[in-house]
Amino acid sequence: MPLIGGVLKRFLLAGDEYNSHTLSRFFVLHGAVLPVAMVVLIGLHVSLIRLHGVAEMQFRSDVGTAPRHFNFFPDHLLTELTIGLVLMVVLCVLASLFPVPIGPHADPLSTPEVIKPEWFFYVAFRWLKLFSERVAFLSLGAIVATMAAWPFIDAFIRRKRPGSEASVFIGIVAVLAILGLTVWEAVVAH
Amino acid sequence: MSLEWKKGVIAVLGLLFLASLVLVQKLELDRRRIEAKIDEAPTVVPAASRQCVDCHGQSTPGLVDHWKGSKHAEKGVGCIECHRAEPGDADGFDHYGAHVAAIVTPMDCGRCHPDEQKEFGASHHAKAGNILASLDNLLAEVVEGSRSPMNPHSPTPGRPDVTSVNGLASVEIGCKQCHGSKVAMMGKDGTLITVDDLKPDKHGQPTNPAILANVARRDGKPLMDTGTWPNTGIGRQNLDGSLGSCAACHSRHDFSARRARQPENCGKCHLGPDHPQKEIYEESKHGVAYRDLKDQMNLDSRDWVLGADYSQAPTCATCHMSGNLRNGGKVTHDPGERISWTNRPPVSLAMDTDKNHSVIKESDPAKRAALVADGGDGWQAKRQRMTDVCMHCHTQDYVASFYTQYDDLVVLFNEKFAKPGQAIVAALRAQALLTPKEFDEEIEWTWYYLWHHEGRRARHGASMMAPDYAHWHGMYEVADRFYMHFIPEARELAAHAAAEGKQAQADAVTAVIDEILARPEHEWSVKKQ
Repeated sequence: MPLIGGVLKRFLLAGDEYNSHTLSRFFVLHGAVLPVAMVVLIGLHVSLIRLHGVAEMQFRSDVGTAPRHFNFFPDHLLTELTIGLVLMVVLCVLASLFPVPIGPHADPLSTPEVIKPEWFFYVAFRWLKLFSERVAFLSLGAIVATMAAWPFIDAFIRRKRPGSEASVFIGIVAVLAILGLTVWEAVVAH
Repeated sequence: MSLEWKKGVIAVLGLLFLASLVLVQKLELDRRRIEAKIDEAPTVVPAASRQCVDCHGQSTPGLVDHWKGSKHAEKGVGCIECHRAEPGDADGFDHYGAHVAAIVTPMDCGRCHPDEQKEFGASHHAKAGNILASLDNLLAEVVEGSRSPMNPHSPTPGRPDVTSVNGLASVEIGCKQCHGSKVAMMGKDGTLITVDDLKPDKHGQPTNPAILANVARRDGKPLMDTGTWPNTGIGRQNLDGSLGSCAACHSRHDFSARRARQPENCGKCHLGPDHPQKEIYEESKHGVAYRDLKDQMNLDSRDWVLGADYSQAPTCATCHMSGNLRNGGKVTHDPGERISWTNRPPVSLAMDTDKNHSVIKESDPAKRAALVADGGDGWQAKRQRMTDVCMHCHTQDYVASFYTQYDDLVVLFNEKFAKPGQAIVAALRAQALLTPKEFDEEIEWTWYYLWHHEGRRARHGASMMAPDYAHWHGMYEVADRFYMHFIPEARELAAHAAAEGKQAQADAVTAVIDEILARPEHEWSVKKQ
């Protein structure tokens, strides 16, 4: 990455190469920095929702009427809580019926023939394997940047072409791509 | 797009999402269960071998199971790849649409493993079958058995089928199961058809195909001589002209590198009173460490490189064959490449080998050097290769000092007992006080025990750090045999000769014995009046 790439790499690896400090640095990053950031961001998110309220879906018949809002507390929170609990129950049932075994002891001396990340990284992993190293990294960065900037891009499109539903179709394609790449990586051995 | 449509699309995508996650979860779970060794990896049977597996899975399920657990099955190597026979192969036969042979030879394995075949072919292991017709074999064929079939001398109750005695039984199930048989097919006229009759070319095809018409067959399958097959001796002489059997170390069907890496494997043959390498290893600190730490030794790893994959303990394979960090991980299938003494003969020889990998017996230093230079391999190079292995765990000085201790014992045995023993036996023969026939006189047994059993135990014990074998099972017994049996028996033969009027012969032998016993190292044993 130009300009900040070198600094970022040194910051993350705690040196120019992987070394004994890299692991501690990543541990602190995941154990302290990220959770704090997450709590702060969630607080920000909830505050914004309390300020603005939650938008309801607008049906075609509703066109012309004023946008309605419903309360964050208790309406929204209760819905979230219900869904969360249902998912938790489903997860517990699945985990009890199909327990995932603990793998063999980690052995630093032996490198497995096939290395795979956790399943939720499959989409990125498959993407990286599809292209050359440079193209894969740059395109992945571009995709993530586009996702982060999407609210602005969406607003820009709507300004240019009011009523455009391009976002919806792009969204559908993106979801299908994510599912396709994840399943693809899960199915193949390498 | 109406909101209703959008809701529909979201519902479909949501369900797809859920289905994908469930599918990925299932695949992940399966993979982890295999990794955790709870489930076995599914075996994909190659199409060409599907029919074999279907039938043999019923008739010989163990054999198919062994294959399913093998690296071969994992890599898609099925039955046909190894058992395939070319049209014209001596022992090939049609078997449910495939042309196959029962015996898989190193030439077959070499189709995929050419380097291993080449190294093995150059090894002393491959030549182990040449012992058939040696002194040891005389013991089994004549002394223990009989070269021609005998008649039973009384009935065996319950076994009316015992109508003749196979005098070679001990050779066939003893000697040949380690050394290897000369595989033979039964001829219709009662003769045996071996590699000598087939005279195969370099591809293993008989150059004398006319003789195949004489092969006795049942359902097309050639009938094998039971004296030579089944056999997995390491120096087996195969019908295609190749020497050896890879299954001797790797076992059939599960064809395991893991198994060949373990000392128990070598212990099928390298044990017992005459070459107890397995017991010597077990007594040594190396063997003790292996028993303790075997589970941590990564025996399943692909390359099993000493210093990279493991370093807890060495096995036989580690020192004599396997790759290590210092040699770039190069495995050899010729264990002789790292052995600097041969302790097999009565007098140990330095392992200078010529271009044919045979031990050089030449005594002239210049001629020896010339033979080594001409495509051979000197003992120093072999010792350096072994030293490289040792130095993964021991310092250079330590290894060099160990080798001094080892050399000293070998030289002590050679000089104090082996060469004198040889000289006395030679004198007895030269003076015709022994018959040319072996093992018909007591002193021949005594001498055999001395070098072939006890002398080897001492030398092997010294070579692999087993003090009890070097001393109590070794040199102590050598000394007992020499002073308490060998010398008195030699003197007795001389005395008998003198009594029979062969004074000159008796004096000649006595002179040799006296000269030897007058040496300072034997002086203690001579009774002073």
